[in-house]
Amino acid sequence: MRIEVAAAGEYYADLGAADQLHEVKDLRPLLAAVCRERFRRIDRFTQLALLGSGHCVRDGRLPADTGLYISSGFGSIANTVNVQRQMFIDRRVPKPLTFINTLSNSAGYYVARNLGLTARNQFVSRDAAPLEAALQLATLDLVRGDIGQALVGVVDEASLPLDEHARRLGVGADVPLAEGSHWLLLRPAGASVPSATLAAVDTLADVAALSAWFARFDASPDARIWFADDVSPPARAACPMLERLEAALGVYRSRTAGAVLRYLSGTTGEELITVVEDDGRYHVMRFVGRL
Amino acid sequence: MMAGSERRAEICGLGLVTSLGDRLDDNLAGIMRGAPAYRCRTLDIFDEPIDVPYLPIRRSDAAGAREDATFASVGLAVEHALSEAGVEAADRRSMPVYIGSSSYAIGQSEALFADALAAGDADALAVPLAGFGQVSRYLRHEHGLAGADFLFNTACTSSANALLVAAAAIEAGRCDRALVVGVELGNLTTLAGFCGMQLLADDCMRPFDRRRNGLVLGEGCGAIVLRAASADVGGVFVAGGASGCDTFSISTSNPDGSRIAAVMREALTSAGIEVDAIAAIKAHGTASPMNDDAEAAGMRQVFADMPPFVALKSSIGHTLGACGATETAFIVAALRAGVLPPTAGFAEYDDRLGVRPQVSARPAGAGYYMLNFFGFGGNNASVILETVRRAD
Repeated sequence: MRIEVAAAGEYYADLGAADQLHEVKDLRPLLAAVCRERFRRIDRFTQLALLGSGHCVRDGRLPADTGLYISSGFGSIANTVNVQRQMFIDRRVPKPLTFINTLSNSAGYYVARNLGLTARNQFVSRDAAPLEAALQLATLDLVRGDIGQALVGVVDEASLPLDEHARRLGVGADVPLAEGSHWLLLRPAGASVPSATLAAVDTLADVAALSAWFARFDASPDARIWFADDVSPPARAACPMLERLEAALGVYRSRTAGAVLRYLSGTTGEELITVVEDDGRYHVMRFVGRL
Repeated sequence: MMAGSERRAEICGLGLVTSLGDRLDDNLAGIMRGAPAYRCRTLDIFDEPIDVPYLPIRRSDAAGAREDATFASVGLAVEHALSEAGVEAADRRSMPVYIGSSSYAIGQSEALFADALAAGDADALAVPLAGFGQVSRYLRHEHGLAGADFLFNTACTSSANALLVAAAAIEAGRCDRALVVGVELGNLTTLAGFCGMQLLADDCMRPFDRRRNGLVLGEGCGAIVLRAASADVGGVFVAGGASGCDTFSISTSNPDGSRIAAVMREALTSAGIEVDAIAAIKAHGTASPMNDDAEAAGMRQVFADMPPFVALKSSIGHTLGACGATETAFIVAALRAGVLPPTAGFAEYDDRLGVRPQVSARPAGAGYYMLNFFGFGGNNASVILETVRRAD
């Protein structure tokens, strides 16, 4: 089954380097444009999820058989940090809503409520490849006919202070950081040729499997671009010489999803291949066409 | 999940590490005994220390409580399941792993942060182990499980969702085997959070009982191996299931039971069976006043004639995101033994609920069994198991 990318939308913000920036943008004024009701006491992770999903589903309406899939590298990290500080430094029991918001699927609750969704509502993660994990789930459900459409989002927030956030990300305080909420609406491709499709999303066991995966393609490499962060020399050698997508993104766990959104809404290339190396495994995606 | 499809997901390996022990037979014997020995844990980090009832993992090797030992409990459950399923080391490399947990490694993060603060580290970092991948990485490095990993975090339905997706992947031919793991390890965030929400019982759990006043948290690790099998072999199969979203409230199901009923009906449809085919139900049964209200209302809407039903959390504690795997493993182990386990803690019928769980073990034969799981964030899941007698 061909999977059509029917729509895409996002919220993204460059934050600059941790040693130069000490606050993040207040998102509350932006929420009114995408929310049917005023949600009180929601955390930043949920705010990002509402913004990104709202920008993807522009009229705010989806069929009842739409599955919701949210992923993230760090989840609701700022809230979890606050809870640990409250307990271990202030010696206070966390407040009920603060505790509930440490559960990353709280964001899914609010997105479902905002869009009127009642079908499956999954939160799934994978260390280096959160988007790939969510897409593997969504495409399984689409192929089986369990859902008619899939709304897939990857959300990662920056937590304050940013120098601590940089440490969790394993980067220096001088590295530009970012946060983002990137969303795709997927559905089975109909009889007409869709403008953009998700052609593949796979997890490959090793470099040999990565080479074999690349060998399946015989289209002109001129039309193809790729995006990869920090792949090792053996993996780079396994990949054909493709033009690299210059996504101009700061560092955050959902970076690959940001690159996908930039490709889909851009003008460069006719295919995008992404490669994420993770503990000797490779998570790959292939998008064909653009929105 | 389509009834009668040729590829079915058979449950062929189980592992359990809970407050009842670290071997499957110990766990089965413990759940048949009924009421557990609740422990008291004092949360003395707060200005006003709090005592809470608790059911920690009981390990026969007296393992400690920090990272290596606690992840070792996960490893033990996984090794038991893989061993029973006959999964060779070479097959592990490509086997997908579906993990469900509410808290993943948050306890280890807390310990590192607390140690750094105690040592006077001016740069002590809260949540140093960010993300969800620690358990998965442990299984990859220490147990050779290097296939695609899916880390579910949908509160108390986490590993139930993991089980449903793994079964779907097998039925769809995406894999021939899959490992499902539920993990809930002790941590202060969860204990204090539930305490702050006033959801914890004073002493013990009394599911669906008139005197119910809350839940007891438990540690637990459950592992389940699924394999593709044809429809004509005997065994225990995932016959169907459903996962749905209830947007009534972030912390409770709609008390009218409508969304719970909807997910149960969807599960029946997915298994291709009518309501009267259900031989028994494993209820979620948190013994919290509102959740038992909603669950009882949902069951009564679906079942005009209520089949026998049991609740297991009063025996092992609420293992939160792990309960999909732990409680499924308990039910499968019991079904293999031809019994339905008893419900501990129930004594007084509540006529407002209108339901009465089984308090004694009873024979269980071939047929369909419904397992229900509900969680924060409006996440509801219902799993249908089918036991088919082996030809021998």
